[in-house]
This record gives sequence, structure tokens and C-alpha cells, in this order.
Amino acid sequence: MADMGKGKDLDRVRQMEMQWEKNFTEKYERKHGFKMPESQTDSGISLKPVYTPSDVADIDYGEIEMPGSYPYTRGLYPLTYQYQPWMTQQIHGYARAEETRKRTEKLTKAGMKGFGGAVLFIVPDLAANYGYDPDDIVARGMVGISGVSVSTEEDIGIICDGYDLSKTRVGFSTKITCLPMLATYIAYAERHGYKPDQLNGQSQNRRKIAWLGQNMRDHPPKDQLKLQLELIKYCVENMPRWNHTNLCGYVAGENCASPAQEMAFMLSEAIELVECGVQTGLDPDDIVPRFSAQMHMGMDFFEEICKLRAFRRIWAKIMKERFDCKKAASHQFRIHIHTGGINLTAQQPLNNITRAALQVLASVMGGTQSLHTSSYDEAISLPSEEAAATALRVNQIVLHETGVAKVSDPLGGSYYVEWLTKRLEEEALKVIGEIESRGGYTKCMETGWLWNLLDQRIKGWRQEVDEGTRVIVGVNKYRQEETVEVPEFTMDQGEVERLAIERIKRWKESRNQGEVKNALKEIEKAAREFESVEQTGGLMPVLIDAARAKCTVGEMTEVFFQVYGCVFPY
Amino acid sequence: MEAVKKEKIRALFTRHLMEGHDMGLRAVVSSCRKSGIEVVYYPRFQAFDEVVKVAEEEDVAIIGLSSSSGAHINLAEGLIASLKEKGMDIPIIIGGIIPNKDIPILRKIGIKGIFGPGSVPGEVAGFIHDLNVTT
Repeated sequence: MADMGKGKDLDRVRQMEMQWEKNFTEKYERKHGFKMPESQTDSGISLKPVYTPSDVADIDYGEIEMPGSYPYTRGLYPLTYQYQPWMTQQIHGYARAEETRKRTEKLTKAGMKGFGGAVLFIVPDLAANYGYDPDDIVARGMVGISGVSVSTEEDIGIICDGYDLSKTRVGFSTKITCLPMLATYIAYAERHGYKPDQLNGQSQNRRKIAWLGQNMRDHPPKDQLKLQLELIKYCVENMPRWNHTNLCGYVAGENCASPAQEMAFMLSEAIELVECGVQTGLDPDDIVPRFSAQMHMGMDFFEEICKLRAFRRIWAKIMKERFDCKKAASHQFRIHIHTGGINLTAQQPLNNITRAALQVLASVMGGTQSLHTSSYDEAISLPSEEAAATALRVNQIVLHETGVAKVSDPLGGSYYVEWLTKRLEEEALKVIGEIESRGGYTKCMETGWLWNLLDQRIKGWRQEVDEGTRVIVGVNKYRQEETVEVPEFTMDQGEVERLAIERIKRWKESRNQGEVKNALKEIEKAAREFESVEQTGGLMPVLIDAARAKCTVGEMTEVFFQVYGCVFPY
Repeated sequence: MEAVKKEKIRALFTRHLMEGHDMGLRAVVSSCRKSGIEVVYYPRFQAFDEVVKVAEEEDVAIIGLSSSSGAHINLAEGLIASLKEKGMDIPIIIGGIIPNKDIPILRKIGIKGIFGPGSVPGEVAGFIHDLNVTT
């Protein structure tokens, strides 16, 4: 590419291409009457049947970088998996803390690990995720489902006791309960002798996309933004090892966003958070290095690889050029991939192992730092133990048996991959520009513009599947009548719920009720006084005090709903 | 044949507040509307008596419940019990992620139609028309 594509050489390449097209036309069109179908990537970028140096002629040798150098298209570090494999962070959780701890131990034994230490990447159950304690009437039938019942320091203790919290990555997949859960974790850690600055892990802190794409109840977007900034400010000032915000393209991807749209969702939110973070008195170089991410991995192999390469490049440029970030860590975007749930089928479920394997392979070719691999039974039930272990094995096979981890950015220099990376960069910047011209990420949440964008994509996807223009093997092509039975996950939900209710009732009885009441009042007061972004900083301290007084995550969350109200995007 | 103007079928589609996945439900609602069913869409109920109240006020002929979380049996039982309390007998269908092993359980407690993964939106509309229940 590049200089080779200049002058005489480029002329020769173009002649070669013309000759190739002529041969191709003669052989297939004239002799066989074959008409080359119009071809597109999954998101609709038109494709040629082959790519040559002329497609990347505008890339200069001067712009070509080594892995580990700005703008990091080829990877964040000089060595990638040669030095250390990607993290296998399997998000998990079900029933009560006891059962989830057992699942963590089994996954750890099967090889789940972070960079060095253990990972506890925990998803709270539906009740906890929506901000209800198990004894709340709204939580009936929802305790221990889709995650673990976790509302108090006691629950966290059952999951975390015995782990060295300074070496273990702890993350709770929380949305509206993000601040109360972090406060509860800090109170738990403090009781065990850890200071906030020793803690290592992450908060999701990306409630807006959950509100938009996962039907989470929440406050109006402008109040969501304030609470996000509160958590960022606390973490930047007190928890230097904690990833304060997990930019989430995954939910957009699960709602049929194109790769360019997914990138734009993440980048627009990051841009807004950095801009507002500056208003709270923070330096972009203190905020940016602790963004983490959860990106979606779809089925279009090359487009998804190019998405990761393009994302790193756009990120580096925005942080350096727009926000004048000086630290290399601010330019380096660390990627965590969650393989697509939307791609999993209930029909012929074993096919999902193949899908996950291809997605893991694409993630690795794109240079991800971390992976969650979906289990093959997820379109049927919550993951069984066997399916969860198989998801890990996919990673281990890609790492140890295929050899793809031996070379950094193995597709770098491919005419097609470099061309598509650039196209995706341009497409994403276009969507970011549109969002900004409409007032930015939060504004586009409020107006419903982002919701409509996804709604159209969902309808388009559905139509393509129904009409068969989008082939999904086993669903609209190669169907088979006989069903394949897979081991299904089961648990006695009624019993789990009964025990969880008993436990939280005991917890609530064991407290100093006066202290609890005062602590909740203090939260209410701080929440009411928190009127603008400039006032950020007053809430986290009172939440931590409330957690010390044994207030539950549900009680703390409820105060926010009383103060800021509840709205839905549609 | 002479065209007979039929009275429209009214159907209530609903899901619990904590059922976050609704792509399937939205597709079903849209397909039912296209097929001429009058759809009352009531997302995010927190208690079953809310659903019962809407069903009564809107005088619907059938209730469609969506669940992808694993709580489908609890939800079905809860809704049936609340309807019974009011002395109402409205057929219920359920769709979403319903494991095969749960189909007999749901049938036994009285669920009329079950649309698990792999069902297409049009099936639900067809089923409702076939039930031949008009209000």
C-alpha cells in the first residue's frame, strides 16, 4: 500500500485491476451468464469483489504505525497476546450469593481469569437491577432470576469474602443502582481493612443506554447524567484504580445498531462526559484513562474486526486532538467484548458454539483486551454449568490451538481490512456529527432521536429475517424438524426468593433504625441540593455513610426516585 | 362471496416492569395490528391487578404476556390468580424465552397458547384469529 501505490506502481496496479475485471466479466458473465450480486457488509457498506493497493492509495507510509503507537489502530501495546492473553471475564450470577460464589469458583477453576488476579464480574438479579430489595412487593417472582440477589454488604460479603480485594477485579453490572452499589462495596471493603484507593474493578455507570435499550426505569436523562458525573468525580478523586464508566456499545448492538452507530453511541457519551467532567473541575487526563468499555461482537467477521481497529483510532484522535489529553493512557482505549446475544438461536442450539467461536476469533483478530463469551443455551434458558464452561473453552481453543495469538494485528496491511477500517471510521464520525448537531447524547436521548434510530434498525432486521434476505442458519434456512435437547438450567426460584426475603428481613431488623432514617434523609437532602453539574461531589459521601449505616441498595435507590422521578423513553 | 364486516378482536399485550427484552413483543404487537387486531399495549406492570384492571376497562378478549427473563411461570400463575379473584376468565397466551420443559406446566395451569423462541410474529396473530373470540 501507501508509497507503493504512488505513481508508476499505482498505474500498474490499476491496469492489473482492469485486466482482472475483464477476465472476470468474460469468464463468469459471458460464459456462465453469472451476474455478480451487489454485496454489502452487515451494516450496508457496499463491497467490491476484491481489494487492491489502489483502495488504500491515500494511506501514507508516514501514517503507518506499529502496534503500541498512536493512534493505536494496530493495538494498544507493542506486544499483544504474546505477552498476556485477553481476560476472560464471564459475567455471571443467579439465585443467591451462595450459588453465585459456587459458579464463580467453578468458572475460575475452568480457567476464567483477569490480568493476574481473579475476576468477580457479577450481574445482580432482576429485582436488584431495577432497584428493589427482595422483600419489595414489586420483586415477587423476580428474585434470583437473571442474576444474583444482592442488596446489602452481607450479600457482597458472601461473594467476595476471602478474596484479596486489592488484587481481584470486582464489577457489578448495575445501572440505576450504580452509585448505591459502589457505596455498599466501599463500606464492605472498608470493614475488611481496604481503602477506596486500593480497590480494583469497575462500575457500569452507563445507565442511559440501559434506559433506552433495556427498558430500565430511570430518571430524566439530565438527572441520569448528573449521577454519572457524581460517580466519575468520586472515583477520579478517590479510586484511581477503579474504572468509573463502562461505555456500552453492547446494548446498542443488541438493538441492531450498525457498527458505526454503536461506535457513535459510545463516543458521543464519552465526549459529553468529558466535557461535563471538565465543568465539575476535573482534568480530561484524569477522567479518560479510566473509561472502560463493553462492545458488541456481531457476525460480520471483517466488519467487526475493522470496528475495533477503527474505534481505537477515533478514540485516540478525539482524546488527543479535541481534549488535548497528554497521557498515553488517555489515548489508549481498552476494549472488552461481549459476544452477540442477538445472534444466538433457540433452533439447533449447538450452532451457537460455532457462532461464539467465530466472534471470539474476530475479537482477538481485532485486538480486544477482554472477552465475555455467550453460552450456547442463552436463547433457551439461563446458562447451564456445562454451557458456561464451554463458552470459556472457546477462548482457550482460540488461544492455544489456532496460533492467532502469536502475531499482533495479524490482518494489518490487508487492503480490504485497511480500507474497511477507514470507511468505518468515516461512518462513525458522520453519526457522531449528527448526534452533536442535535444537541449531543443526552439531548438525543431526551428527544427520542436515538430511540428511533434503533427502532428503525430493529424493524429492518425483523423484515430481513422474515423475508429471508438475512440468512440465519436453522431459523430461516436449513431448518430441521427434530429438536435438539440441551441440558437446561434449573433452580428452585420460589425457595431462593423465600430465603432471600428472610435474609434481608433479618438484615433490616439488625440495624439501628434511627441511623438508617437519618442516613436516608441525608441522601434526600444531598440529591435535592444537587441541581447542576457544577455541584457534583456531594452525593457519594452521604451514600457511603448510608451504606455504613446498613441502608440497602433498594432503599438508597428509592430515595433517588422520590427526588428525581421516573420516566421511560417510550 | 359477500364481505362480512366483522367486529374487531381486542387483545391486551403486556410485560412486567422487569422484563427488559421487548423486541419480540414489539414485533408481535405490530404484526397483530397489521392483521386487524385492536391491540392494547400495556408495558411495565408492577402488580397483576394493574393488568386485570386494564383488561376489564378495555374489555379485551385475550391477554398476551411476554417474558424472556425466566420468570414466565411465576408471571403466568400470578396473572391467572388475579383474574380469578375478580371472577374473570380471559384466555392468556405467553411468548418469549420459554424452555420446552416448561410448556406442559404452563398448559396445565391454563395458558392457551405458548410462543417460544423460533415462533414468528405472524403466528400469534393467526392464533388469536383462530381462537375466534370477538368482543
